Amino acid sequence: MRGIGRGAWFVSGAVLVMALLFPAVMPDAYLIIIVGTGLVFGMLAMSLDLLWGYSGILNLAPALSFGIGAYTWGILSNEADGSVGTLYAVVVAVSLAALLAAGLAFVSFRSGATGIYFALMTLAATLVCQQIAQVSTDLTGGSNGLVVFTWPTFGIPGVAEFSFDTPTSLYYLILAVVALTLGGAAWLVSSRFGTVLKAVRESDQRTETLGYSPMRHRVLISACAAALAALAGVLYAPMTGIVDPSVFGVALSVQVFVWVAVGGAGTLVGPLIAAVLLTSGQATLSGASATLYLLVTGVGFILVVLFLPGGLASLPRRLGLGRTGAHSRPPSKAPTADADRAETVVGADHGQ
Amino acid sequence: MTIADVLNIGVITIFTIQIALGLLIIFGVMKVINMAHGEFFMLGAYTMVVTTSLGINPWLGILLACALLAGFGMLVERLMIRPIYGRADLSSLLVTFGLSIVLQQTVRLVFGPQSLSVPNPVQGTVDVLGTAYPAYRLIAAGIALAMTIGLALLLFRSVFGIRLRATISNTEVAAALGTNTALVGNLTFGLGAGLAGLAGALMAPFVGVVSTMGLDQTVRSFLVVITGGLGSLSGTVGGGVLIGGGQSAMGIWFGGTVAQVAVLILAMLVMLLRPRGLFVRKGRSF
Repeated sequence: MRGIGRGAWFVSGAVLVMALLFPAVMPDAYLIIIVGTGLVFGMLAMSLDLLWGYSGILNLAPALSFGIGAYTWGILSNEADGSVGTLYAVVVAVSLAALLAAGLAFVSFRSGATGIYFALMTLAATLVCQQIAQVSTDLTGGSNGLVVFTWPTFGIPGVAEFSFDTPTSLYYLILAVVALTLGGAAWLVSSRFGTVLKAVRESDQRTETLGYSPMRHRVLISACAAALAALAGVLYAPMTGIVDPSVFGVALSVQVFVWVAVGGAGTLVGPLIAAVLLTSGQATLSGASATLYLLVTGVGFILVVLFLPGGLASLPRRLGLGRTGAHSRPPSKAPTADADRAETVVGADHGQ
Repeated sequence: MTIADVLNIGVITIFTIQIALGLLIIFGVMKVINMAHGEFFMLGAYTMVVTTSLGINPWLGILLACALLAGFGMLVERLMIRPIYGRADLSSLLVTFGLSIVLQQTVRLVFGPQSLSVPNPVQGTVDVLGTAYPAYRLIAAGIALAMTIGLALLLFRSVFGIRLRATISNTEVAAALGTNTALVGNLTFGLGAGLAGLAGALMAPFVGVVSTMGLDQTVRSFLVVITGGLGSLSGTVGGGVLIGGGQSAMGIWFGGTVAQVAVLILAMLVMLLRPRGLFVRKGRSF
C-alpha cells in the first residue's frame, strides 16, 4: 500500500494487536470507555488529516461534523432504537454532516473564500452550531447535554438482532470501524482521487491545467472527511452516554489539530495513535494534574510545529532509521511535513 | 434602550476596536494569524489581579500590564514566530494555537479555575443625561480611545508608521529600500500584544477575570477584522462598530444567543459576498 508507508502498517498492526487484547488484559469498564473514546477521537484525527494533511484544506472546526454526528445519532436513536432505528440514525447523521460540509465548502470555495477565509468560515459555523445546541433545550438538552440511553443494534428485527450494549462490545465495534475506516482512508489517499488531492494541495493552476477540477476535489474530500468525523460522533454518543455543546467547541477542534500535528500530518496512522494516547492520558487525570497535562501537551505541540514539522511519525526517518525510499516517505510538501525546510529551520536555530 | 445601555455599547465598541487593531497590525505586517491574541488580553487582566493584590497603584498596574505584554509579545515573536517566518504553510497559526493552550493552562494552574475580580480604581458614578454611570468605565474607554487614536497617528504620521505600512504592502521592497523588516515585525508584535494587554488591564475591574476569557476576544477580533477587511485600519474601526456595537445592542434587545449567532452569520455572509471586507475600497490597502 503506497498511501501510508510500510513502517506505518507495521506500527498499526502492532497497535491493533494491543488494542484487541486490551479489554481482556484490563477488564475495567472505565478504562475501556476511556480508550474506546480515544479511538473515536482517533477517527476524528484521521478526518482532519484527510483534509489538512493530504489536501491542504484548513478547516478550523473538524469537530463540527463530529458534533453533528453525535447529536443526530443521539436524538434519532433516543426516539427509535433497535436495528432499524440504528441504521436510520447512522445514515441520517453521516449524510447530514457530509451534505453540510460539502455545502459549506462549495459556497466558500466558489466565492473565493479559501485559506484563512475558509478557516474562519468553519470556525464561525461551529460556533453557530454550539449556540444553537445550547439554546434548543427541547431537542438537545441545552447546556446540560443530551443523555443518550440507546446502544447501536444491528441485525434483522424479530429474527436476529445484536445490541452493542456493554462498553466492551461497543469497544470492539469501535475498533472494527476504526480499522475499516483507516483502511478505507489509506486506500482513498493512494487512489487516483488521492493523487489529485495532493496535486490540488500543491497547486491549483497546475492541477487545472492537467484537466482536474480543484473545486470538485475539495468539495468531495470535505464531504468524505465530514462523513468520517460524523461516524466518529455516532460512536462517541453511546460510548460516553452524553453529548453536550462542547463537542462544537473550539477547544475540541484545537485538540484535533494537536493530535494531527504531533502524530504527523499526512500519515493517517500517526494522528490516530496520537489521539488515542493523548486523550487516554488526559482522561485518567483530573484537577490540577489534568491542567498540567494540557500545559505539557501544548508545549510539546509548539515544539513539534517549530522543530519537527513532520510530527512524531517523521522521527525515525529524521534520525536516519528505517528506509527512506519513495514509498515510505510522507508527502513532500504536506502543510507541516517539509523535511528540507525543517532542516533549515533547525539549523538556523542552532546557528544563533 | 436606556442611556446606560447606549454607554455600555459605546464602551464595548471602543475596546473591541482596540483589541482587533492589535490583531490587524500583527496580521498585516507579519502575515501571522495570531490565535493567542485573546490570551494577551487575558494576561493583561491577570496582571491587574497580581498588581492590585500586591497593593500597587492600579494606574501603575495598567501601565505595567501594557509594558509587560508588549515585552512578552516581542519575546514570543523572537522565539516562536521568527524561526518559522516565511514557511509557506500556516505554521504560525498552529504555533499561536499552541501558545494559547499553554498560556491558558499556566494561568489556570497558578490562579485556579474560578473567576477573580479586580477592585475598581475609581469609585463613584458620573451623571450622564440624568443617568448615573460608573465613572471608571468612561475613563477606561477614554484611555482606550486615546490609545487607538495614538496608534492611528503612529501609523500615519511617523517614520515608524511609514516603515510599518511599507512592510505591510510589500515586505521585500521595504527591506530592499532600507527598512529593517525583522525589527518592524518584532516591534509590531509587541505593539499588538501591548494593545491587547492594555485592553485586558483596563477591562479587568468590570469583567470577571478567568483563564478562558481570551477565546471570546480572539474570535470576536477575527470577526471584526474579517468584516472590516484584512489590512485596513478604517475598515477595522467600521467592523468594530458593526460587530462589537451590533452584538451588544442586539444582546439587549434579543438576548446574547441571538446576538452571537447573528454576528457570526453576518461575518460568514461578508466572507462569502465581500471577501475583501465591507469597508475596503477597490485598489486601496491600509
